[in-house]
Amino acid sequence: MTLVAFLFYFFIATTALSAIALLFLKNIFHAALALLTCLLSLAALFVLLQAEFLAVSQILLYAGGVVILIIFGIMLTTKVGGQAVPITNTGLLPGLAVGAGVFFLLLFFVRKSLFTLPSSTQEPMVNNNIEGIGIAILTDYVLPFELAGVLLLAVLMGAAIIAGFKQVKN
Amino acid sequence: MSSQALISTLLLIALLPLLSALVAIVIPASYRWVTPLASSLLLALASVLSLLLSISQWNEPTLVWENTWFSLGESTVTAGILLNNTTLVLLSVVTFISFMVHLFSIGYMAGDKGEQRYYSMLGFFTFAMLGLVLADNLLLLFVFWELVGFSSYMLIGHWREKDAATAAAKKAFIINRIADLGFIIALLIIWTHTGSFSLSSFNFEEQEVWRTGAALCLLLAVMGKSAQLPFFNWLSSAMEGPTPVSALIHAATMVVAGVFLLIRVFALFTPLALDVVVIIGSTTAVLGALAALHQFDFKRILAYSTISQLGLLVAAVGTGAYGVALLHLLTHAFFKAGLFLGAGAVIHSLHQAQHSSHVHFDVQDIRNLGGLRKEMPITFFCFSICSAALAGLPLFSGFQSKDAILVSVFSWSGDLVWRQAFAWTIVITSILTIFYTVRMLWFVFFEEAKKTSLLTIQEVPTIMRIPLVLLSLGSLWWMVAFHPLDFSGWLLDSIQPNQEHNLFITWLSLISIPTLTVLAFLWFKKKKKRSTHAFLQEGYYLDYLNSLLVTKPVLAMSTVSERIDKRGLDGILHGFAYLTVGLAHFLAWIDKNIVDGLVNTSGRLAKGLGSIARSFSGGQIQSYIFWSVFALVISLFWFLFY
Amino acid sequence: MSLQPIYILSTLLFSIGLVIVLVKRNAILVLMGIELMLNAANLNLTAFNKTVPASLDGQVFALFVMVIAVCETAVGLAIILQVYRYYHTSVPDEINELKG
Repeated sequence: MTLVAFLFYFFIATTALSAIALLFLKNIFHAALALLTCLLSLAALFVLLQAEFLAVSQILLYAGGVVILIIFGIMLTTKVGGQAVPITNTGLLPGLAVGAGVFFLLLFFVRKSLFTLPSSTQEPMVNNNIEGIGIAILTDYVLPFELAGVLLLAVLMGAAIIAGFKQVKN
Repeated sequence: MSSQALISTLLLIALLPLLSALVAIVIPASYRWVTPLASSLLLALASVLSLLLSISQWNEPTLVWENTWFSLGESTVTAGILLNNTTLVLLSVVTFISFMVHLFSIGYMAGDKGEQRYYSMLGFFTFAMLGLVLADNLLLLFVFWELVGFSSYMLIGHWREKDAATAAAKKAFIINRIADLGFIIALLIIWTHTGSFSLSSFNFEEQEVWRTGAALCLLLAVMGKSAQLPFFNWLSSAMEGPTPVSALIHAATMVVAGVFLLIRVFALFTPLALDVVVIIGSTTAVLGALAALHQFDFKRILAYSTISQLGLLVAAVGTGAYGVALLHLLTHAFFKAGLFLGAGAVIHSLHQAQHSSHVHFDVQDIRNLGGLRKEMPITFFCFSICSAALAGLPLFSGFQSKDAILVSVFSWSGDLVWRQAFAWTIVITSILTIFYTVRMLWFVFFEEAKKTSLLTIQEVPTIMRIPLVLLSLGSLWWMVAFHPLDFSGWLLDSIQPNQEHNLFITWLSLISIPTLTVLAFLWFKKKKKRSTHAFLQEGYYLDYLNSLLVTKPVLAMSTVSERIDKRGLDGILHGFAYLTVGLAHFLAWIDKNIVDGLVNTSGRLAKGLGSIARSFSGGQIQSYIFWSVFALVISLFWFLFY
Repeated sequence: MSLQPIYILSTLLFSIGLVIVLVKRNAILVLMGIELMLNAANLNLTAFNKTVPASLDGQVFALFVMVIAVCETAVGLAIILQVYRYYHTSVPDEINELKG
């Protein structure tokens, strides 16, 4: 097989495995690291899907932002001093059942082969992915873009305020 | 006299003694000296009224006054008055003797603790006796019969602290009650066959068996009340009561209630029943006389004498001569009451003498007495007159009435040998009567004084002498008829006229009785050694027989039934109680565990179901998400694949 | 090459994320599950975009999803922090005052 195919399958495997590991890990910090691996593998997949900007955004935002945030959260919400409390499950089997149900349901749609590659490869819109996205968000999708900005501002303020409340001793 | 006024007067006469009884109770203790006077006055009034009434109503037609008492279904029972000559005789006798006894008691019972109770019971007794005499039907008569028995019980047991007195009262009442069973059965028989209790409807033609049965049952009651053969031991014990009580009740009035009943229902008796009456009467007479001869207690001699005379009365009725019986009843009332009051006078003055000299001996034992004729002359005089009447000496009322009895008995006996045997027992009784009377007189009044010489004895107070004198006056020949040898006087001529006269018997008695009296005097004067038999002295051991045959079995039966009741019936009751309690516990267990268990289970079920339902909103976010996703998946599966 | 494995992967990631949200007893891990689900959606969108190479709709959509996810994670963590301060526990099951 070609290198691309190998990498393709390799990163699919990595993502899947790390996701499954995330399901079964007991230590929350290790879980965070598993998440990181998953997200980075996803970034690689994005690259293979010719969505380079998205891949970089994924690394920047998720791997470098969300996971860090999550790790800080972990740090602040686990009991200070002493052993880390292992993560237990509540109702694992029902959850797995429902999850399996959803999986097979969606798989059903996937298997219906509605989404196949077109036989003719069309001309991509632009060769430069970043340029394409830039143009798109400022012309076709300028409204969501602006709204995203507003949202970010609101979130910034909101998160600061919520996290900054001096809590009355319970 | 109009019948309305007559009835009112009769009722007044009957109610005056009752009033006296109420007055005696109501008067407070601080005024107790009023009681004897008030009672005596009321009785005097009653006595005078009844005498006047008797004189005015003598030989008038029979008056029957009926009121409806109660009705059962279609038959009614009446309560009212039956007035004929017999009634008038007894009315006068009862009230007069009661008045005499009241007068005597003023002196005799002075200072007694229960004086007021005594006078009230005396009054009540007189009232009951009058009611008995006036009653117009058997049921009403029975009511008063029982009341008389009750008053007798109260009066015999007047001195409550004396055990002997209370025991004697009980014995009298119980024996009377047992005999009254006959009365009740007779009432039932008469009701069944005639449908009415009324005495005025006693006219029978056919000789039926039920008449004999009813007559014999009534005879049983008479035997109890008038102390005939198997039932006479209560009378001698009744002497434990005060002597005036003995005079009134057990000599003159109550005990003759039986004889009165026999006279009233005479029409009921068949010849067979009458024969039984004679047998019982004569047997009692002779046994009583024999016993009287061997008694040492003053009053017991008189008691047995009464028994004997009652036997004579009953026998006289049995021979068919009920008028003769009524005559002897009248004369016996006077002289026997006089004798008892005389004995009471002796006892009273001896007691008074004992108080002042502190010498104590039994005053009623005639062996301790003697020579009293010098110290108590008036008492001696009256006592002798009455004793002479008892013995049947000529010129006294007793001679005439006893003569009448003898004549009627011998005319009844006719040619039958067994009847003649009974007639001769009457003769023997009369002879014995003379002997015990003389014995009594001799011991008490004539002999040299024994212990009585240690005392200074006085005559009794005037108030007590009056009754003695009056009663002894009534024991003389003129009470019966003008001619001292004739017994058909005002009474017999009006009640049972055309009596046979047997001059042979009369002249024989006229000669033999005084002779026998003198002989008896000489006998007792000479005889130093007294022999006696315990059998006769103890009243033929009837008391012992009674206790053996009746008292002990009854007591044993009552003990057994008490045990049955206590262990058996009470045991059953306790068992029921335990059962109930156990059942209650069981039910409580059921209620607690099963019923409450059901309720609790349904509660828990609801709670469980509720908590299951509630778990959907348990506040746990992940379960919310779970269930919504689950529902979504299920619905999607459903829509896609069906 | 076939994009089938990508779709299978995204389905897998989505269901695993769902399971993590339903099952885990730590709020932060629940948040991670949500992130996983969002990423699965992103993957899907990008894969769809490959089938229509003429436009970049898919990628732009995925970009906005990423932005939203970041915002949501930030606010979510802030809330979890406050909740932790109040209840002293980061187990969602124990925060059940809305029970009943």
